[in-house]
Amino acid sequence: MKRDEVKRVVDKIVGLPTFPVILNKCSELLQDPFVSTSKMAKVISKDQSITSKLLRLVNSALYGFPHRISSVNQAILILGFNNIRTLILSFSVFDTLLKDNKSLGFDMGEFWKHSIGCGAAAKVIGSRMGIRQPEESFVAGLLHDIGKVVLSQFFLDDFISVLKIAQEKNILFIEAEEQVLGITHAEIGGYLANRWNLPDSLTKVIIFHHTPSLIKDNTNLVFTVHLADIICRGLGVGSPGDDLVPQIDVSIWDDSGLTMRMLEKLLPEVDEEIEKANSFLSILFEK
Amino acid sequence: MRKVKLDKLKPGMIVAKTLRDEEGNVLMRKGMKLNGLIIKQLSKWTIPSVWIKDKNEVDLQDAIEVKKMRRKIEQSLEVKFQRVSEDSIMNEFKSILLRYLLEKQIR
Repeated sequence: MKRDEVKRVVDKIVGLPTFPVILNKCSELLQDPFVSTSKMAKVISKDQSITSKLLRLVNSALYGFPHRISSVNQAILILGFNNIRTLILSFSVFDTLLKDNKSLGFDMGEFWKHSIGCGAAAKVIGSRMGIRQPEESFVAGLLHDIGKVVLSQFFLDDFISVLKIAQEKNILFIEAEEQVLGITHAEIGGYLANRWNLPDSLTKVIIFHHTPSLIKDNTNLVFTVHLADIICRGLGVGSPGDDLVPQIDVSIWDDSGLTMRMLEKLLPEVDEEIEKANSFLSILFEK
Repeated sequence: MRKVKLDKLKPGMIVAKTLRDEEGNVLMRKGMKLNGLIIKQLSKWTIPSVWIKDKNEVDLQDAIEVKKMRRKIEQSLEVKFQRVSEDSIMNEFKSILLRYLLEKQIR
């Protein structure tokens, strides 16, 4: 596979009309300091599919609110603009990438379990790392391997050869990508994120989740997802395409203020959050 | 495992064999812990004796079971961590996971 070919395909995905019309509107509205909840809700409510997913999600076990939330207005009031925007972003990414590609015959169940697990783990770790928007951590974990989704949906043969090499040689998926394709899911995902104008923080996670020490500042979210990935691999939550636990970035770990003792105490919380987050999957895949 | 007469039964003893009435209905399941109320009930049923687990027998069985589980988790972690076995942080992480996963299974 050539880089140019990847770029051509990614450009094609970007051209699909469904992607972030609402998202752009939301972003615009968020720039406006005087925007009202009802104005925001009006924009979101125009998209029926997103509205129904959003309402199902906020009423799911993931949040466990005691009362039923029946309007977008209410959802915004409870979760806040930024969290809602992040959730809509993940819906849009799924809608666009997974359109009509269910017939490929490749079981991605374990892969999505891993992604959801990383989202849930990132939410727990992120709160300890001082990240204020829990949904930002969740969606960053959920989408960090989006480059693998591009591979599986648009380059299935390449995807399968990478999987095979990773298993045969017992190496990480990303190492197999380097050997087979000469380009990695981190780069592909990063290219897509840039073309889609995804938030900078999310783009950084997608590009640097295997190499967090390569970025200089705002390392918190990237490191959170880096660690969430390692924890989920250790716990055996789904499969990211290989069965190995990669090295924790020691220099960032040392600066993170976390200790193994703290991590040990977080594990039950991570498991609990994963359990709750599983409802997210069925909602994302609903058409 | 030993047979214990009704008047020698004490609260805290563990039933070693499932006890049934003449029609085969379960009266007490294997593994059940006796208490005063149950012992009273047994005398009403005119049951002469109950098979009780020896204390050591229970511990031994559990220990073997836990050891088996531990070995299985250890093996799977060994495979996952094979590339980072030289690193002290990763080794610490591995032992935390072993402890946690084992506890989770026992629960």
